[in-house]
Amino acid sequence: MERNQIVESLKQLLTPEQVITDQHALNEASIDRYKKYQSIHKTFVMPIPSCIVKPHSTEEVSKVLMFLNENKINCIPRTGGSATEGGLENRAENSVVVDGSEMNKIIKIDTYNMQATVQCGVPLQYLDDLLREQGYTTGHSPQSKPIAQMGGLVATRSIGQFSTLYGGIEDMVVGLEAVFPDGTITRIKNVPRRAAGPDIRHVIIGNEGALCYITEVTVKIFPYLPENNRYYGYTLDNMKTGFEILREVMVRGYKPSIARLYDVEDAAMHFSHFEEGKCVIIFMAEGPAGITKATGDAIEEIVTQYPECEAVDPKLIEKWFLNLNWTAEMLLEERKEILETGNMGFTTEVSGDWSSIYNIYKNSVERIRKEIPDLTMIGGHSSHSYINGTNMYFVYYYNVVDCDPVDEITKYHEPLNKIIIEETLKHGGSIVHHHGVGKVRQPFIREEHGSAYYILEKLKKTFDPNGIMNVDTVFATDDK
Amino acid sequence: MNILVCFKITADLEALSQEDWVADSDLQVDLRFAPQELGCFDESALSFGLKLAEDARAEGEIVKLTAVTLGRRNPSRWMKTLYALGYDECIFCPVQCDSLFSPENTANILAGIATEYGADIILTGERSSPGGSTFTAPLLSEMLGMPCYGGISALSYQAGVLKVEALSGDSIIKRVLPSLAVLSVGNAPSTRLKIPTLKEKMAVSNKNTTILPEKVVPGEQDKILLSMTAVDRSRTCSKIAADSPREAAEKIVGYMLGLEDMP
Repeated sequence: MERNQIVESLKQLLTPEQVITDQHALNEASIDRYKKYQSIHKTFVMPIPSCIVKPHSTEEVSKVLMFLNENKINCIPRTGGSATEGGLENRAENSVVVDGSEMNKIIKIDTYNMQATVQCGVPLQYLDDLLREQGYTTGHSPQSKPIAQMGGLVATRSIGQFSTLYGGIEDMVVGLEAVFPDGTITRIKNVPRRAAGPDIRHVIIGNEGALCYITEVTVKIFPYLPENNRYYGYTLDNMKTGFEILREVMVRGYKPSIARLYDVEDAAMHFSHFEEGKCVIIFMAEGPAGITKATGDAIEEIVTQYPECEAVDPKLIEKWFLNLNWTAEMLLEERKEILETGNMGFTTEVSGDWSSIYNIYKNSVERIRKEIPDLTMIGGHSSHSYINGTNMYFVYYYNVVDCDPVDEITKYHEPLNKIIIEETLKHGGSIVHHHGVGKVRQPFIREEHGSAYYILEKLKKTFDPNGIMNVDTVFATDDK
Repeated sequence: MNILVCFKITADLEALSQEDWVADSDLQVDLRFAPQELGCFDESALSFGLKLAEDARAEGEIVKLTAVTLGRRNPSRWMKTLYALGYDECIFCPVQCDSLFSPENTANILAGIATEYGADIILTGERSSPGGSTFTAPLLSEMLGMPCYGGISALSYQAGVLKVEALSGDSIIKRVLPSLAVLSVGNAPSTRLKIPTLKEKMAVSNKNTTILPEKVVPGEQDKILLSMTAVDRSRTCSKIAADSPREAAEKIVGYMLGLEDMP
């Protein structure tokens, strides 16, 4: 089908106002934050989508998907558009971006059953602010909170800064509504738990728009008790000690809402007001007063066993934390800075068990320092811990030197990312902790899953036999 | 040519919340909890220092490029960056008293350092909040008997001539300067410092900050902070009901002219 035919058909299916063909919007929709350097230099080399459609209801999503499926047109589902791993990048001619940001109604906040039901385009910040006014919270706070919307957060298996207490989004979602490419609308009901076969929520959570379109989600809510929050911060000499401390807190069964360990380089970026060339470990205890006291006391007791740890004023941590999330102004400022300095910053997040995480961290950093040119910073932090391991969030910056904007990714980012992926796979970890597979890590998806990839492969073939859902995302290319 | 660039690391005031703007028993705002940053004007001054040194060296001149800062804590991370970018010497002068509201004291200490180092060209950022740093450059100029030029937005050195541009209202003033001058750098676009690579930092890892003897600065007895309030950044929002864009525009214009009240 020709580009203009697609646009005209969609205008008839919805209304002309719901079909966006503005060139600037289409250019920007051809990539996501993974190729921000190209966006900043206004170099758009990926196929430009034919249009962006903004459905207002689940039924409209269904109609649009049926049309795209029948005509074998690639669909890129999106809501807040904060993706970082190429999940929203376009790889097909005449794709249609289905933008759910105008499906932004809060359907029900049920404080008796402690759950909130919202449409996919509800911004998390808006929902959480509304809940906090009433004494509740979603417990979900990714750095993208001011921008991200609920559908995208669920689609990418997002995780927030308080995950050690509240879990990732997969622990919060109790029910869903989603539309499959053939137009089928499915609802997974909201129940506390069930054993009625496999947990089908997980077919949808984390599908990254490559199987279906999430239109509505129901998430748990929690009491919001900021008056009981306790903050703890320490400087220490090395990451190995830090991982041991994190492990001990988790293994002993404590659940601080925040448990983060920064290496020297990353700490220098975050804690310029007190770091002195040291690693930093921070905790926050949250919840009912008795629990926060017990958690806080245990953290202090555990850390005391490590003489290299020196406590810092808890207010330093509290104040720092209040300014951690992205804002629209920060993202604009970042673009200006990149344009002026040519200095690019990215992150890659992986996970590993307690036995392997330090080696993943150490080997990756050593290899990156040796192998990647024009590097200005490599460091990282662990920010989400579990009883059996933790994540590592690598942070890196490099100067783009003698390089066309289009080649920045292949000259710097891909080789750097590959080192982290290789070291993670070598040590038995996961190459994707919480940013999603996107298109960046999709080529490694078979190695990530091994023999279990069989299950993913069948899901794709079953639910998206025409391969119209977000091509090249999550699923290996030969499964299209 | 001896170039001395004076800079200051300050608290990121944007990171403070409304309730942080409270004067303590010493009538100071507690800034310990705010992250540190290099102000944009000082960053431009440091960037111009590098450019001037590069231009002068290209002319065959012998150049010494020095950066100096005062404060309670040696900003060693920034010093390493400056060495890696090409500064020959980075000086930290510890001061006991907070020179927050004391440009006279700051200028006095800097004048001593400039004299000791034989500075020909002194660059400073035009302003850096908090503190009245706007006054540092003119006071320094007065103490040293060197002319002062403000609002510098561009700078070059060719054929032994130092040329600067300064913004003045809507116009740009271009000047040729004498060989001794204090330059106060204003809003200078595209003058962020480059980010040095890890290799560049490694290459200067043996260079240490020159730490001067601590200066004890008397407090300014004649100035007392009586009160302090945060800037009111609150906004109001009104929804305009109109049947057409024209009607909406007319209502907005009416409101702006004071003819109509917002709903």
